[in-house]
Amino acid sequence: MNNVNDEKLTDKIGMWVFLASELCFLLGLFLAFLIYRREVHNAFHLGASHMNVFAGTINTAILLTSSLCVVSADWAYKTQKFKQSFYLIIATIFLGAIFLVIKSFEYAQHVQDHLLPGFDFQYVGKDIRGIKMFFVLYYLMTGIHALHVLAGLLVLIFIALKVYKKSYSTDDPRGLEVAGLYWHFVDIVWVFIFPLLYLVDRL
Amino acid sequence: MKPEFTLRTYFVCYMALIILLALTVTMSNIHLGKWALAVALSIALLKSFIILSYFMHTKTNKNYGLVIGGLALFFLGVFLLLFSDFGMRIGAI
Repeated sequence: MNNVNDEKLTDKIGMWVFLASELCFLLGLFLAFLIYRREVHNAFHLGASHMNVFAGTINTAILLTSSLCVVSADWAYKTQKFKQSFYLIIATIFLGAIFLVIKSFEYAQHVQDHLLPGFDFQYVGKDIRGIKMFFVLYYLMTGIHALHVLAGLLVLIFIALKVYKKSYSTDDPRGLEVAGLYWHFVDIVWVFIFPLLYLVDRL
Repeated sequence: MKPEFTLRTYFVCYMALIILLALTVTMSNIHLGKWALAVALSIALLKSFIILSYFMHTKTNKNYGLVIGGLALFFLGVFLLLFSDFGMRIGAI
């Protein structure tokens, strides 16, 4: 029994350590963004004016709803509502996919507006280098986040299959719990990306 | 295994998160000048606190809470140190 508890603890601590390492990596990007924002504030203000606030707001609501779905799936599994748990994970996967679709439409719009540094960047006006830096950081931060969402979706597909087969015991659905931790972390990262990139420099 | 919280608790947290999202967007329409960043990040911190405490269950497991709290303070320290260093190098970039 102790071994089972130890294993469970190890799995969870392993995920927390992984999330801490992810935090180290992402904080560097946030720091770079804040430093450049301070140095070339006017350019970041202009860059932020190209953001689609409506799409960003919808995407934030989608991720928050998907977090509710995944934590409810965990609750449902522990209370032996297996079918409900499965459908809630499917809903999470569906919402994650919608998030990526909306994000790709946003990227397509920026590419169409010639705002893709390194490939096709055309901007008439002052502060062109600062605006370019805004978009470099924008693609880096949102792109890395989108890759995390994609990885989360693949993990959740695997978890959905496990839940469908009732592979976990109701006492210890640790795969579901650990995948949930990862998904909530991805949600938290977006909670910071959204106001920084889309909102703070609008006015 | 007994779930950590009730479904009702999760739903209340979700509603709080959506209200905070609406507040974030509303505040961005008000000209707050240099306070805009502080306000937006404060709301984001509150949102992440709700997610960490309830959705990630650090509220029911104090050990995780301590680890996360310690890590958050550590990173905040690194963050502030680096930022204050740049603050003293005006026009560094």
